[in-house]
Amino acid sequence: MPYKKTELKFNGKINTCEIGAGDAAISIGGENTLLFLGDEGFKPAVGIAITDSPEDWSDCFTDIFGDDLKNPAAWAKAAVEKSGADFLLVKLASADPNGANNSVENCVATVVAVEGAINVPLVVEGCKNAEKDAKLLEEVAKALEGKNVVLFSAVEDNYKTIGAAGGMAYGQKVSAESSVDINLAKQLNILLTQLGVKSKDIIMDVGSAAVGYGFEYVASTMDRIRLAGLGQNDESLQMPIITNISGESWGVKEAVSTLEDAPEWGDQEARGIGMEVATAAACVVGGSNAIIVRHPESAKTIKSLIAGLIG
Amino acid sequence: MQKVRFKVKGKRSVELIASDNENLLEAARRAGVMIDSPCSGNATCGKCKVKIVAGKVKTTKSRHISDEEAAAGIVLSCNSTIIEDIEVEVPDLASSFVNEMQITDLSKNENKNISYVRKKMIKRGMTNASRLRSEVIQLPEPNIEDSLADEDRLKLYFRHELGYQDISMSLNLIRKLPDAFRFNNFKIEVVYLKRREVAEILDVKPANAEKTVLYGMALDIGTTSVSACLVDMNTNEIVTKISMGNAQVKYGADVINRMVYSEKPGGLENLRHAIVDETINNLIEKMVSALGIFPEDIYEVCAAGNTTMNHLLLGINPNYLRREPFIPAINDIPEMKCSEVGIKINPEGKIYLAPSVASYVGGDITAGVFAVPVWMREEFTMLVDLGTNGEIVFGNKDFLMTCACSAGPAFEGGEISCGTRAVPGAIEAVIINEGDLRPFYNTIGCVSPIGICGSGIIDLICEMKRTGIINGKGRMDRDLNNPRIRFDEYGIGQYFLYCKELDNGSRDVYITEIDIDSFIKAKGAVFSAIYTLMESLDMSIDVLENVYVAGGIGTNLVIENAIALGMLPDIPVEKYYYIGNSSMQGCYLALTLTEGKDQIREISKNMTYMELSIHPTYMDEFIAACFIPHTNMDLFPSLKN
Repeated sequence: MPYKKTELKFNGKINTCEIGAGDAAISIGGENTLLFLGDEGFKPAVGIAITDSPEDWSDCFTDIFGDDLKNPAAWAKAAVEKSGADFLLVKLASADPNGANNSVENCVATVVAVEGAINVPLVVEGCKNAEKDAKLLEEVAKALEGKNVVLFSAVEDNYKTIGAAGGMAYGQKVSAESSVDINLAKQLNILLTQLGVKSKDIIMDVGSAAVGYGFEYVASTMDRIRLAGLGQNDESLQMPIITNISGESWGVKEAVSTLEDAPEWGDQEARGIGMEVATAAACVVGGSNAIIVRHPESAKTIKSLIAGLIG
Repeated sequence: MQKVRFKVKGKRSVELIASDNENLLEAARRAGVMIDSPCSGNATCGKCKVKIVAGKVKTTKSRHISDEEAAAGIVLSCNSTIIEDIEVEVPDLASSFVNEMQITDLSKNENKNISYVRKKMIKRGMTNASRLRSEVIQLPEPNIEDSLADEDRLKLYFRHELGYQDISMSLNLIRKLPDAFRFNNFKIEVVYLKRREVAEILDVKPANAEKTVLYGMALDIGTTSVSACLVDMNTNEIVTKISMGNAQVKYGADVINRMVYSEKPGGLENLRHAIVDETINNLIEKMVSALGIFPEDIYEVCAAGNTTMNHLLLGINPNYLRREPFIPAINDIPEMKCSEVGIKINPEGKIYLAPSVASYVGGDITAGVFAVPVWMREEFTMLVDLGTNGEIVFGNKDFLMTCACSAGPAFEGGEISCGTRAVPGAIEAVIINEGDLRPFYNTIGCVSPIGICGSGIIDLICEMKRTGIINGKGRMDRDLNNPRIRFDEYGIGQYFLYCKELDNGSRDVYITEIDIDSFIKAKGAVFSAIYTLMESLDMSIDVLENVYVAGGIGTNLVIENAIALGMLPDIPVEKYYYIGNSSMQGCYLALTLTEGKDQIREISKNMTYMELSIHPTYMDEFIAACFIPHTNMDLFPSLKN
């Protein structure tokens, strides 16, 4: 019997979401099939992460960026240049009230400087304290009006402030964060749209884990989200997915153990990159439209993987 | 050694000597003072508040105690230890949930269902008579030629005059025979059970001018509430109905906490004592004294309870029910003497317990299925029993599928800050005004509100969602500036239905975000159980022709609101019937129809149980249902606009 190629047609389509402004703008999403299956060439974007408090980052980043680590704007510029990333994420870790408790004004100043130093779209990550992030991301949205940045991320406890400020008042994009569960992701999307944020202004952060650390949940969650959006035309799950795997990947023992701790495992930096590349690759294949890594080498590798898969 | 005096409003105070650093809640339990403690002393529910009026205790402040309360000496008894002589005031509200006994008639719905089903069953060939009989007999007096023994004399009479092959009786009764026979010249009254060809004698007494009225009792042993009704076995008429909280509540709100408690030293015996003596015997005493009869006039008890309640009633270790693979000690409990169980009716009286199907589908459900004619319907019918455990039965005369989910006591008003059972003063219906968010409500008995019962909670949350006070996750809108909405020092939102300042009230009645969250979990558990059961049979919700909703949620349950909250499937409201306590109705029917008990047994054997905890999609469905109305709006087409 001759081989007959069957094609699965989906009735749904992932929203196209433009991030960044002017020449720097890129668009993510827009596919009407699972990624890499069609020949439309919808390619996931690769982002590079920096932070305003790199104290707990691996030593290899000091080797790469040197003194730039102390200056987020300079670091941002160098990171984009060295990695060729499509966009940049800056994490405002210093704002954490349980840590340095840096003021909202200082953090906003950092973000404005970073934005001015790069010519790629910007994703601004808060400090993961829901209350502080609400104030912080609201001010960031205000200060960068017109720049079309991604506020990363709104959670159940602060979606109203971040959604209203970012998605409605200042025309930014809102990332909606849930913890690896299709229903929780959907519920937050519904709450945001009920608030008045347009679906096209929402990006989903459905969570992640480093490979080997329960990634099966991530894989099946992404899979089901995509199949619901495409197959069942579920409009509340048709937002592009953004995944920041950098923290998870560089936080596991494979990346943290020094050469002295585990000589048989080999070079620490290579291990970190390995974890990051493996995790990012799995997310991209699983349906992430935008993936964020730390190491320039990881970014380059994933970009070439994507290019190779698209062919 | 410290002296502790508990003052309970309206009761005499109780004193006991406590050991050093004894836990206050433990001491109260030891003294027999009822303090509501659904979480069984883990400081998580905040229900066991008491006021220290003299002396001091060592306590840890928690989010359940406001600064104001702390200043007034209010502590959680479970995280307080006794360090000196103290005097403790136990609030009456905490105990009223359990203690308040209510004598009522059956509700309209209950009566309607009973008479409808009864007629149907008789039409199908069941005998409209109880097995319990009594006869006034004149036995021939013995003489030197007729020297039969007393027992033989009675046996002969039963054989020749009443057509029985044999009689049986206990030693205790034989002891009564000689004097009873001779008191009124061998004119006696005999009470017996017809067991096919054998008459089992339950009582022999000298005949009086009037025949004794025989009573039977239908008893529903719920995790949260216990209800009973007394039936005149000659006329099959229900003469009184009564309900109260299950006294085991002080050892934990749900079956799991009770099982955990039963493993503590003396725990099993305490639990047995709580249900048998403090609850059932207490109910019996109240009923007989209200009617002016004697406990000895009750000869038969037909009871139904979930599997755990059955175990605890009989003093059987229930702990293997909660450990995988969830095995009960016994499902089909043989009929036994009430005196063996400790229930105080006639010493020869019998107790029949409706058989269970599995660890989490108990006799209350088999009895309920018997009373709701799922088993004789042609069309697809569902029974949803909204108790502390939610149980679902789906099927028709050809098959019966069942599953159970843990809903918690929220539907009966338990573990809700101002929750109460459906008793006078309970808010049972609520409407919220859109503009100023002012509530309008009805209370049972039209008295000032003491709390909110199940149907009131459903209305309230539905109205809070409609007026935008809460979102789909049950969180209150932080931007609303309204005197009825407050946030405590831990940021937990509260909505006041009735309060001291705004309504000049005698107490506060409110709902918190935590309460709403418990409710959303409860309704999510029920809906996802219904959905998963139907999915596993590859049937859509639309095939349902009748849905019977049972449980102590309150007669004023508004089905539209229950659908709007995503608790019940979105099918036309005409298909729903709220029938109240189905388990007790089943017990009543089993008591008054000769073949009833066998039919319940038959039903229990024909039910197929589905274990949701190992079902691959249940957890997912549960999370999807923990949203108002539901994450998947396609399941609620009528709510889309």
